[in-house]
Amino acid sequence: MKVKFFVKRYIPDIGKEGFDEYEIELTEGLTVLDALLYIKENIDQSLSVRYSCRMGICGSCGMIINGKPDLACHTQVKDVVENGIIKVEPIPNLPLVRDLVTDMSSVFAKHKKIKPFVIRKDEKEQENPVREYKQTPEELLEYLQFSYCIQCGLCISSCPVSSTDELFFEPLILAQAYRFCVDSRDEGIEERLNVVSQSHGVFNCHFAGGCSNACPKGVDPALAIQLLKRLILKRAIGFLKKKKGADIVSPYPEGPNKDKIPKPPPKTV
Amino acid sequence: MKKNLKGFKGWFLPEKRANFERWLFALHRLTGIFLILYLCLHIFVVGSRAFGKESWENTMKLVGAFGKGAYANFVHIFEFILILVIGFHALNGVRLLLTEFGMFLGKPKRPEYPYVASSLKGPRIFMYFLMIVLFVYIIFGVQEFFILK
Ligand code: SF4
Ligand code: FES
Repeated sequence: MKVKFFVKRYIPDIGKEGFDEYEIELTEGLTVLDALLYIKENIDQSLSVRYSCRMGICGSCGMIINGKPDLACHTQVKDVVENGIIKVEPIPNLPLVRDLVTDMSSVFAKHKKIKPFVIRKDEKEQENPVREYKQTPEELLEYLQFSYCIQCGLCISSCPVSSTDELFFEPLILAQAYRFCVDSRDEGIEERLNVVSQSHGVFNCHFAGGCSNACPKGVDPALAIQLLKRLILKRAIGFLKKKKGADIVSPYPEGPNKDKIPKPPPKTV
Repeated sequence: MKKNLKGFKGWFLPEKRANFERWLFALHRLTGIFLILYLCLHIFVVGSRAFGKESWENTMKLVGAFGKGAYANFVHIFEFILILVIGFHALNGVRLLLTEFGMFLGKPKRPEYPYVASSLKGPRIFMYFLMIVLFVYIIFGVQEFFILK
């Protein structure tokens, strides 16, 4: 069976825009990404597509496939093909660089603002750790789901707020903010809540739920965002409990036995 | 590089296989814009009382309060639509408020495939409840406006 691919093209240097049509043979196990790479190798070398892992882990290959946001590398052509046609478009609501390649730098800048790492009051201890922090499986479950985010940006494509507001902290960013706020080891909740409760922050979300519907990794950003709102509202009425970061596992009685750790191999360069 | 924002299309035209809440969002925006415009009209009409009795009566005539005929009917239907719009906007607002306090949402858990986000599952039941309330409200509205009239 032959499948027709309509791929949205955009090449600013030569002013090219619009859809290009390619026809390729449908083989068993062909993913949309495979098909695009086949096109790039055999039919049209000017096609740009971003990918890396080809197994749904790196989050590079998010695109709109037949109208639905998904990862190209884990979408089987035979599952989504409609009347022998597949339409591929880049993720909207993100700046477009070329063809299917979008620019995520503004998203990463916002990600940086919410401090996506465990913050501890005792920085000296954090930089020179002796042992690990305590955490129960229940405490892990509080944030585990949100830490599966691969930053593919698909949630941005189906967020109605992002579609008119570039400055909005996108669903994935707010989900990450929540993920670190509820981490039992973390002590930086105040700083993060201050960042996300500003304008263009968490209260611009009106729970359209598009993000959770689009997410290929089961992250449920909408849930994280609503829970983040709850944290902020709780803080506003003074019900937010002061959080103390998890304790450190009690140190080895005789100190860490470093002799037992094998030495690294000698440097080669 | 171009911006490639979806713009207002993103508000009102969800993508394929979008969840139900996306349509509620679209309706909420639409009714919100309608209410803002109506509020301007409302303030204009009610505010005319400040300029004396005569001006009040003139504006009342302008909006067809005591008249009969096609124009008065049009205003009547407009009022009915207004009630629906207010009803939807208020009830959906209640839904948003409650979810903002974290109610009906379910807990974070390990996603097991095929996975449906718990934030989309939990509030649904509540949403159906609100829709039933809205439906009853509409029936009363129809009765009030068109039958008991
Ligand atoms: S939350 Fe989901 S859809 Fe959004 S960037 Fe992360 S993995 Fe992708
Ligand atoms: S190529 Fe890595 S997620 Fe698709």
